[in-house]
Amino acid sequence: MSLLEAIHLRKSYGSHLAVADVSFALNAGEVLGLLGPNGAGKSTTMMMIAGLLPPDSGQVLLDGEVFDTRLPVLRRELGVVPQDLAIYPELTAWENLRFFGRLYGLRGSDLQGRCRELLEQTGLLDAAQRPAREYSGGMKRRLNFAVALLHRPRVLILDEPTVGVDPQSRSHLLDCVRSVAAAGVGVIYASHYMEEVESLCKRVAIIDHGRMLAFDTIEHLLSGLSADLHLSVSGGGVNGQLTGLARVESGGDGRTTVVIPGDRPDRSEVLQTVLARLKDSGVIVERIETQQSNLERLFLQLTGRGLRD
Amino acid sequence: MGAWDITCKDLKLLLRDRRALVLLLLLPLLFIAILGMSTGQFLTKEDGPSRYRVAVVDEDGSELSSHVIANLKKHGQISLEDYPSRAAAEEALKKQETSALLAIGPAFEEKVDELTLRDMFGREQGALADGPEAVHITMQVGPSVGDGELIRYFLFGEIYRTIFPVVARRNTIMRPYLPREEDESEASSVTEATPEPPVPTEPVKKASNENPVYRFLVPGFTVMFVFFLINIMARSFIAERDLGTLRRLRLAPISPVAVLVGKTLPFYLASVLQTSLLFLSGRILFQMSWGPEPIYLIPVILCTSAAATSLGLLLAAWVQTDQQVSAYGTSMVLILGGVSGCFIPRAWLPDLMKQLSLATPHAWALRAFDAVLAKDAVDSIQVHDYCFVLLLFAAAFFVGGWWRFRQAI
Repeated sequence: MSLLEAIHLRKSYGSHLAVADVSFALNAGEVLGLLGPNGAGKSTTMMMIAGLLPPDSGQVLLDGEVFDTRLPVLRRELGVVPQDLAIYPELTAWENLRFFGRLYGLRGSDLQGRCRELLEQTGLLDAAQRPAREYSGGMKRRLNFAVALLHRPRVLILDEPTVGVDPQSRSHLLDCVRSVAAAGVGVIYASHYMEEVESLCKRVAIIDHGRMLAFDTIEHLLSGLSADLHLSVSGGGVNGQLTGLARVESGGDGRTTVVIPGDRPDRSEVLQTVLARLKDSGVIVERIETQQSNLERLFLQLTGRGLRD
Repeated sequence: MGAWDITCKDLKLLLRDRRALVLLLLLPLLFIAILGMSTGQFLTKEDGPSRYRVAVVDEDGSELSSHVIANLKKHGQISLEDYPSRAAAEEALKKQETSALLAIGPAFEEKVDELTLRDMFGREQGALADGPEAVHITMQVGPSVGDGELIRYFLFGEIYRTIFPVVARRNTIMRPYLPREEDESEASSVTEATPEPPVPTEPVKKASNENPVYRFLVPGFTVMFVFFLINIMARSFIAERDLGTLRRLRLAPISPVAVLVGKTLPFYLASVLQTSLLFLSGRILFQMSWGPEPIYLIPVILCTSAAATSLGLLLAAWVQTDQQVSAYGTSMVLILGGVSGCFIPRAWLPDLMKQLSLATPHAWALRAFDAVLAKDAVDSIQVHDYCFVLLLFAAAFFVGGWWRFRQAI
């Protein structure tokens, strides 16, 4: 049985359909990646799971039972690391943790011990007596993370937890996520940083326009992805002669690359046509190579390259 | 428990906010002190002659002149100061160190001995037709005193009251109906210990060194600044939302009501503390009287604070930004304070304004404080009624705030 299941979640804001139909399952000890462009419905989905937004339809199950977050006892099962910092800057790290710990029912030596444990885990013990407003961005993110773990939740939702964070803090946070998952916590990890998701997650769910576009292991998703063909060219002019066949990318070093998308079924014919036209234009093809499949390519292939609001 | 944890957290944050502490504590004290010093003379003018200082010179030195002066000193309406000579008194009058001069001439007793009962009963026709000069008494009033005639009339009236039994006792028919001379001298020998019950237009009891202006200023500005708390409270709610911590509170296993109570309670406690400190300061710094039964201040303070913090909750529920807090909150405080009588005594407000002011919790708070501070005896039922109305305001504001917050929490 899955630890957490989201089943046909749907949510509208007036006439705007934010989440049309999202379903996925999370296992204990798993880090599930949740990907989607801006406005895709990720945050709305996470808020519905966390109980901050009631879905118009659909339900969330925890251990097979309806996960009704109106019940305080069930709220203890869930930890949320929001995208925006949610700590009190005028309080120290100790004070922040003690306050939120008390809200979750921790007291006395248990609270004290748990706070110390998390401060050590997030590398904040030495700075714990300073007010949070004096912390660097990375330290604030780590404290933000620690608060969500105080009450030992069974499900942890992280919404872009490493935004604006230095590489050291990011690496530290990712290690913390791994150790949390290793302890049996089910983690939903939303991020725009594909390399993070690839390093943390076995399975990903890709959402766009409120719908689930893909939900599978990364390995399986990438195996179905055909590689792009990259032609490094020089000389002559590559103008409109390749429109509809390939795209032209100009590198920072002045080099030009012609890319034939891997998802074209007629890739071989397109390659021949492109080579002929380049030759006619006096363009020299220096090298042809295939681009390695990765999550970013998969994401862009599924969601498109157009800019989002 | 969640509510109490939130309360402790917000109290901690409030105590670390120096600007809030200045606004809540120091600023009202400053207002009270400045206004008390600069407008005290003006604001107590309606108390009438009790404001006036009268320089008295006894050139007669007789038992009768001493008796007259002693009786005048018993009055709470004037402050009599002895001067050694007429010249010194006139100098003080010229420098406006005193409001009026009363000189009892060396022939005072002799002139009184010449008076008959006919002169006493027919003042306009007899020897007293010339006024106090007929008994060798001179009165001068300073140029800055507007109601000089009233003071002359009052002084001469009191002198007449004192000399009447002396003159009347010479008449054998009147004598049995007059108090014995020993009784009169016993009464007049008590110089300042037990003053006569005053005959003022308003029933006011003063502490020995109290400037009665503070009996208005302290409650008035305390009420106004207590309601200034709504700005700080609203900012706290906005900060909670802007920091993202409101979302964490919603995720925590505590009810929305507990969140609201937890956020409101610290400001209630701060309000009670603020009011108590301001009244304590009024007592220590300005010798303000707490009235005959200060215990009644407690329910008034508690109910005023309840109304103020509930109004803060209502404001917090409606505003979205700091700028809106400044605009709406400050305007509300100043307008309600002005309408209700925080800035000028309620007794001076036009009747229509007095009626309108009853739509504000401020007015009921001021009435309640007045009932405790400014009367000879506290009417407990009246205080109870005023407190009940304040609690009604508190309940209405809280329900309004809760209804609005329900959608956000």
